[in-house]
Amino acid sequence: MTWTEKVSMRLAKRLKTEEVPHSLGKLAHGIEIFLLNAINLAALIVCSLLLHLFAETMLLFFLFYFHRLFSSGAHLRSPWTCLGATLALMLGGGFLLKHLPVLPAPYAQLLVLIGTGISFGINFRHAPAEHTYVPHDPAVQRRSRSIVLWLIGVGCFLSISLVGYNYHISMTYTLAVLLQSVLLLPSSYRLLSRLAKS
Amino acid sequence: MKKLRTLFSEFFALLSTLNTSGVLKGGVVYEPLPPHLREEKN
Repeated sequence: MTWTEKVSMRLAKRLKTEEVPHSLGKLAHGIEIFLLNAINLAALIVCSLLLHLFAETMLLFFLFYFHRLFSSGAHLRSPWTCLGATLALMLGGGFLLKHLPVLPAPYAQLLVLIGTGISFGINFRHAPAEHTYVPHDPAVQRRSRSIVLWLIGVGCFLSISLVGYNYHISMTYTLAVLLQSVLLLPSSYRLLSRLAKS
Repeated sequence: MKKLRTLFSEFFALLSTLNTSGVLKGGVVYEPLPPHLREEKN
């Protein structure tokens, strides 16, 4: 049993009374999801502030997180290695965005179109990722895929339109959906499972 | 206090239901054990 499983079970036992209709397992599961997300967010805020990458990293993280809520993707099996990978990915992305040279608008628009186009293609083929423990429902999978594809379509349109006004938001969006879609590729799953074994 | 406890338990139960039904995925975290496996384990 992991540390977070123990803590969430202890909190669920405190929360559970006769009037609460939900099972202990359900409450502990919800608490653990919330707890892990809160720990990840707090670690990301602290590290990005220390590295002076707060604005870039947080915007990248929220866009990435929002798409991943519907599509999921490759992740590591331990909460702590997963946290380390998230930090490395987001802080690396934030650093890249901070030092990105400003391209002329037509080139930037082409870059956004290519980036979001690749993401759309990958999401069309692979989104959403299947759950590890729970059997998937095809109707829910179809709905999640439609939501992600619509999000990328609208995001692409807005990013191309906004290039001239806010270059960094457009580039952040493109990088966020590219990262999210790369983590849906079967090769990413293979790489992460190899990393987890070693 | 009672209302707060109910509110929190409803929130966590909803989070769990949305996750296990596949509507909301895990975001950036690894997938925690779902309720039925958790109860078997205890």
